[in-house]
Parts: sequence; C-alpha cells; structure tokens
Amino acid sequence: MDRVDKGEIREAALRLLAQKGARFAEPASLPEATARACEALVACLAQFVGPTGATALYERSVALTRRVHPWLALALSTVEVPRWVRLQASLEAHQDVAEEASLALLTSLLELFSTLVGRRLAVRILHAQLPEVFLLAASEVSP
Amino acid sequence: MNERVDIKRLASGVPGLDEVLGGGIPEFSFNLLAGGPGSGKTTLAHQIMFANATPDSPALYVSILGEPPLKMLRYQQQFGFFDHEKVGTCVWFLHLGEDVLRGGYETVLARILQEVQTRAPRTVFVDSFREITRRPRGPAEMGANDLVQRLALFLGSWEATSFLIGDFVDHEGENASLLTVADGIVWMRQTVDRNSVVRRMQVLKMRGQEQSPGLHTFRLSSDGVHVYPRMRNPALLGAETMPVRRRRLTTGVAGLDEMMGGGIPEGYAMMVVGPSGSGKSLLSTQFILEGIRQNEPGVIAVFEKRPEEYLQTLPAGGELAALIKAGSVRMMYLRPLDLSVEEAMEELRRLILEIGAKRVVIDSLSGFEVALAPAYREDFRESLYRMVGALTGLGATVVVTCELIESYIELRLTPAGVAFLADGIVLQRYVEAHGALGRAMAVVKLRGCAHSKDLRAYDIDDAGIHMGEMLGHYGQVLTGVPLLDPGRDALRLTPAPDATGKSVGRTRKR
Repeated sequence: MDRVDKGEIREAALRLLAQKGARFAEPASLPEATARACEALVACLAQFVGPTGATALYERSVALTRRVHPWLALALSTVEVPRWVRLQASLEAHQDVAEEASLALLTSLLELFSTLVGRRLAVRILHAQLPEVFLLAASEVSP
Repeated sequence: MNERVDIKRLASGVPGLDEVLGGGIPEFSFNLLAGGPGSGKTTLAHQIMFANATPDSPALYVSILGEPPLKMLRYQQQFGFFDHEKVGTCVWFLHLGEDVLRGGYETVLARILQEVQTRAPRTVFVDSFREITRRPRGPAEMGANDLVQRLALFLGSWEATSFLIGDFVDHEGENASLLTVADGIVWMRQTVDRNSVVRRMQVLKMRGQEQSPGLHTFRLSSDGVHVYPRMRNPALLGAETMPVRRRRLTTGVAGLDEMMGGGIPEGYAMMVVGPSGSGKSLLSTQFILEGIRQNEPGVIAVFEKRPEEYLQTLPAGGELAALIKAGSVRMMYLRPLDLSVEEAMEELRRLILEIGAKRVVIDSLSGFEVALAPAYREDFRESLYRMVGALTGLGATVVVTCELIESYIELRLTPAGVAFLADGIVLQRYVEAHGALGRAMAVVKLRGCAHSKDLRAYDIDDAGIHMGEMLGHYGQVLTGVPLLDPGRDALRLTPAPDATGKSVGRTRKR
C-alpha cells in the first residue's frame, strides 16, 4: 500500500519542528522553528522537483492551511520580505493557535508531496535529505 | 604504446537495445536521444539511468524546460524499472528551468558543471535539450553550439556517459552541429497508421562500433521500452549451417512421409497450403504431436483464434492441451492487430530456446499478416523471409499453413507471393466426386530432395489425417472435377457413411 499515513506525517512534522528548535511547552519558540522547518523542507524538495516546483507545493500548502487559519496568507513571499520572515511574523501574531497552524502547514506540505509522488518515493526522498526526521520502516531499509 | 584503447560498453538495461546499438552504450560517449513528443525518449532515458545507477556509479538527471520534475517523478514511477531506493541515494535530479530563463546558457553550463563536480555521476541526462537551444539569446551570450561543445568536452573529461534528450522531428538544418558533436544518435518515431500506433527507432550513428542498420520496432509497456531488433538477412546469421544430408522429421501422417521420402528434411520451412477446412491445422498439429513421440518439443504460434478456441477445434486438442500443461509444447498467441514480425519472432525465439523446440508451427500465415499493424504489412514478405531464416537458423523445422484461394486453374496463396519462402510445399485440394467434396493432397515442392509427384486422396476423422490411394485412375483432378479413366474402377474420394448415416472412414475403392 502506498497510501499517505496522516499519523506518520504528523509524527515527522513534530520531529522536524523539534529539530528546528520548537519547544512545545513554550509557544514563543514555535514561529521561528516553523519558519526554519518550512525553509528546510522546501530546500529538500527543491533538490528533486526544482525550486519552482518546491515553491509551488509550499504555496499550495499555505492556501490549504488558510481555510482554517486565514491570517496565514501573510506567509506568501513578497519582493520586499522573504516568505520565511513573513511566515514567522504571522505565527508570532497568533501565538494562541501557532502550534496548530504550524502542524497544519507542515503536514499539508508533506501530504501534498506524498500524494503527488506516492508515499514510498516521498519517504525515500525526504529520508535521503533529513534522515533523523523522516524515518524508514524496517521493511524499507535495504539489507 | 600502440595498444588500442579498450572502450567498455554499458548495458542499457533496455531489452533489445544493446543488440541494436552494436553491443551497448560506449562508456564516456556523448549521445542524443531524439524524437517527437510522446515518442518515449524520457522513458528510455530513465530506464537506462535506473539500470546503470549504483552508489559507486551515481546518475544525474537534469531537466530544463521540458516536463516538470514533479510530474516526471509521478509518472515514471509507474514503470517497472523505477527503483524508489535509488532516488536520493544514487539517482539525483537537478531542475534548471529558472536558471535557463534568468541566466542563459552560461548559467545552465555552470550549474551542470557544479553538480557533476559534486556528485561525480557516471551517467548524465539533460532533458529537454531542444528547449534550451530554442531559447532566444542576447548577442554577447554563449550560443547553443558552444554549450554543446563545452558540455561534450566537460562530461567526457569527467568520465560521464551522457545523453541529451530532445524533441527533434528531423535531423537536418539547425540541428546539424549537435548531430556532428554527438557520438551516438538514437532517433525515436511514433506513427499512427489507420488504428494502430507503431513505434520505431533508428540508430543514426554510434561511434566506435557497428550499430544495427534500419528501423527497429519498440513497444512501450508498464515494464518500459522493449526493442525488437530488425532481423538481419538469414544468410548473414549463418542460418545455412545444416548438413547436406539432412535427417528427416516424420509428420505423423504415414503416407505423407513416404511421399516426401521419409519426412520433412530437418531445418526446412514447409508450407501446407489448402482451402479452408482442408486440414492444414490438423496436419500441423499432427507434426507437433509426432515430434513429442520422437522427443522433439514443439512450439505452435496461432493468430486466428485464441489458444482455447484453437484447441477445441482440433480432434487432438485435449492431448495437445495436456502437453502444453506438461511443458513439452508451447503455444504462442500474441495480441493481434498491432504486432510486428520482430516482436513475434522474439517471442517465438524465447519459446524455442526455453524448451529446446525442434518443431515450430505457424498457423496461419494469413492470420499472422492480419495480426500485424498495417505499417508492417507492406514489408511482410521481406520480414517473413528473415523470420523463416532465423527460425531454421535456430535448428527448428518449420511448418507454416497458408490459405489457398480455390481457383482450380492456378496456385494462388494468401498472402500473395510467399511460396518462395518455403523449402517445401504440400498442397491440399477439394475435389468433387459422387456428389460430395473429397480431398486430395500432393507434395508440390521439396527443395533438393526427390519426392512423390502423386496426387493422393485423404480423409480426416477423429484420429487425424489418413492418406488414401493415388488418384492414378483419374485425370484433371486439379480442376476440382476429376474424370475417371475409361475402363477403370472408381475410388471413393469422400468418406463412406457409417450405419447411422454419418460420414466416416477412409478413402477406398467403391
């Protein structure tokens, strides 16, 4: 089965946030960690689908997350301000829901990529770049 | 220091392609995979890449203005050759769409060089190269020819075997410089003829080795590209290696073997011609069944009916089905209407080698011709000539059935003009006698061998074909209406009725 496993994706998103400095008991740590996590993830995807392809996936994820968190529209980049700075700023302005929004954005991006290239290939690609975050199942590890 | 450099060849991983290329892809060569949209270039490139990529020999796939990489990953993984484990470990992708739009050829070249220096790939693919060269450029900018020259030099120096993939529809004019620089050029074509799609490729050049000339059919399936190399002239393949005095293969029809001087000479292609219902398939399957008795496995290629239907129509269908199940007989049935002769030949060759077949039946030639894509029917005679030569070159004795148009005054075969292919011809005819249709058989030709010139009656029953007596008392048998010589006893040319009124039995004197 090559289905997207939402639980698996959520766990990976939590690991990625933690790796980038998120401390879930301290909401103030989330905006910067989320911005760094998204930047790392987009850079990782760009290795395989190109910068334009990775940006398109990110922007689509923001659009999907906006259905619940409309203020996240600010996360889209402008000429003056890089998208990661805007993302961090918008999360800082909504710290009460920052954890929920951060997880929604990251899982949305990972789900989208997995849906388009299949879970198996998505995990392989992400594992190759961020092995501590994207873990392979025992059956997926080469002998 | 006069030793020649040993050019190693990479196995392409594409069935049939290495044979067409002349032994594989020369290491460190700079190649062009060209063709129109949808011709299979990207799939061919991925297949070669995944076949050759290992941790010690990584591969780099550079996409420029062609198919977006996200879609490429999505679609290419549908093919059987796509190995998920290699992506991100020994298969790397680089997308330069933005670079070519913003920075031109210099940026593209710099990014490729940078990536090659970082990853040290042994195979590099640049897709779609054609799109780069179409891009408008400024007067001071590097030109497409410079880019090609530098890329070829650089990739060769880095010991990379490289492939440029491009949507080219012809190999003239503006593409000439690229074609000159390339060490190897594979041109892929897709044409639609009536309702069939025909894919063919041509190796225009392959420096340092002798590629197989002409157009080669290929098929694109879930396994990827499969090339069916054009069969060469049988004489070039050494097909005529049989001893002068050949062993005879009995047909399982006693009287017929006598007429041929003991059976069909080994390695001969024998054509059984006759009108519909005359027993051509029956004679062919008796030949296969007799082979099993002689410990000579056989292959039957059927085209007009599905195997189950074919077996149901034969008196010995049950016995044949059991032999097929046991593995001593193989039956080939290929998807009709878009077949190529080469594809049929490859499958036949595979089955022959699989069981060590000594006997092969093709039933029928007219069905085979109809099963071919229209584009291949034009070359049917030539392809068939090569195919029969290749089959007999494998040591098989071949029986081919062929429909006869009953004009009674001439020997007209369908397909037309194929009689020259056969070393021998057995003719079956209907004759009218006593208010019913009887059957007569003759050996018309048996190259280099003495054979009976008799016309003999024959019957068919549940046990198969039974040869009757020579029709020596009759004249004008081939007109279909034999005349009994005055003063001679008539032979019964049609089956005699049994007690229930059913027609059974052998040819006999009235």
